[in-house]
Amino acid sequence: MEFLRQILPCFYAFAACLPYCILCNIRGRTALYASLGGAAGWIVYLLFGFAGNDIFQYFAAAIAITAYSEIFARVQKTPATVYLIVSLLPLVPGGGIYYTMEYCISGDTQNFLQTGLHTMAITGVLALGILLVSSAMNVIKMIRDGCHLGKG
Amino acid sequence: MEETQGIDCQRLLELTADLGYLLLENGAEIYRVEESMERIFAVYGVTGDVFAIPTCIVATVLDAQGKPVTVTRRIRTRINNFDKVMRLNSLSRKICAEKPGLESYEDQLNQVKNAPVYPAWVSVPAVAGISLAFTLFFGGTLRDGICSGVLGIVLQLIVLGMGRLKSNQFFTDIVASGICAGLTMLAVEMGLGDNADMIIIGLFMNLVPGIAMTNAVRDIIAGDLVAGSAKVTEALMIGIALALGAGIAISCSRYLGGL
Repeated sequence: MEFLRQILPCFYAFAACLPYCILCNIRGRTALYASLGGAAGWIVYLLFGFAGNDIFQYFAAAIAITAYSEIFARVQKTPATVYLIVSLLPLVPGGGIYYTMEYCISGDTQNFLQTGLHTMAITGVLALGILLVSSAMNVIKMIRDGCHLGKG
Repeated sequence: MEETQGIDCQRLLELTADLGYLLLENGAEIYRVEESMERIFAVYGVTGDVFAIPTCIVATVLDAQGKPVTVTRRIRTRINNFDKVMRLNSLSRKICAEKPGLESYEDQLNQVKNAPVYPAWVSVPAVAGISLAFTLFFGGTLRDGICSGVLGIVLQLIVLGMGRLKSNQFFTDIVASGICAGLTMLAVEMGLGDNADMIIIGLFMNLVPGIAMTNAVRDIIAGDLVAGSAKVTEALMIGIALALGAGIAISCSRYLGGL
């Protein structure tokens, strides 16, 4: 029961990503894979729960999702953005934006600053995760394609 | 120079600019636009340069006589239609592989232009579904989820309506998040929902700048700092607009009704 309660958000993440594909006009199997990416991202987030630091959890999840997207993009010959945008949605700190605003209007400056910075940190590590993996993938691709280093 | 003989450079330029325009309009990254266009020019043996920013494409090629020909395409509205981006992406791969005649190029481009899109009303139940799922995802109760789903319908109707009135995105976000937060406070006060925060966050997730943020990072990776910083600003503005709209509505409801 406890396990189910923990794993249920992954299904919700999948259920949320699927209609989001409709908004972005992503069709067919691509929509399915992209939504599965959203669920996979949350599983990774939960797996890194032992770290006890949600910034690190978000970072791990962003890395996993970007790797997933880049691999699917190579296999399916579609742009990686398509998978990335949908899979990343459950990690975007909508809650952070809300609570920051909530503390702001209640005049709780301490918590306002803390939550605001925390939200920005989450956004930052998500960006960092994408940046690292996508750049690494580009380099790997170059090496595999037998990059002509001399020619630049 | 001989390779360019027999090919109508101007026509090629216009078709390729159309392809780039469609890519950018439908939400592709800058490097994808520039790279696709440059590769197509290269395949047809035409020397050309492409410069793209999120709102404009400038492409110049040298024609058979070595005279430069330039086309500018201004992008006024941008949507997220990734089905089209995928089709255009495979079209440009195909063109590079097969080097079809310009007639066939145009036909294939038109096919992509007329690719099916979901009708606008489909987005209404979709947003309802997203709101419901995210409210549950963030730990709301089933009652919260249903509230959020119903308000999701209102949210998307507002977004569609404001779009028809040609409102800018920030104002749309402020109004949509404001009205939805106000209605949420009302629903919770009436006892229809349990947690106002879960409902509002579920609704927020439809508007959060996830796409702007992801594309910003991808543009920055590719070295397009102008586009990247423009999109970072966009993401920040959307976040602020959301907070502002909901903030106004919640403060008002607290002052007015003591909710």
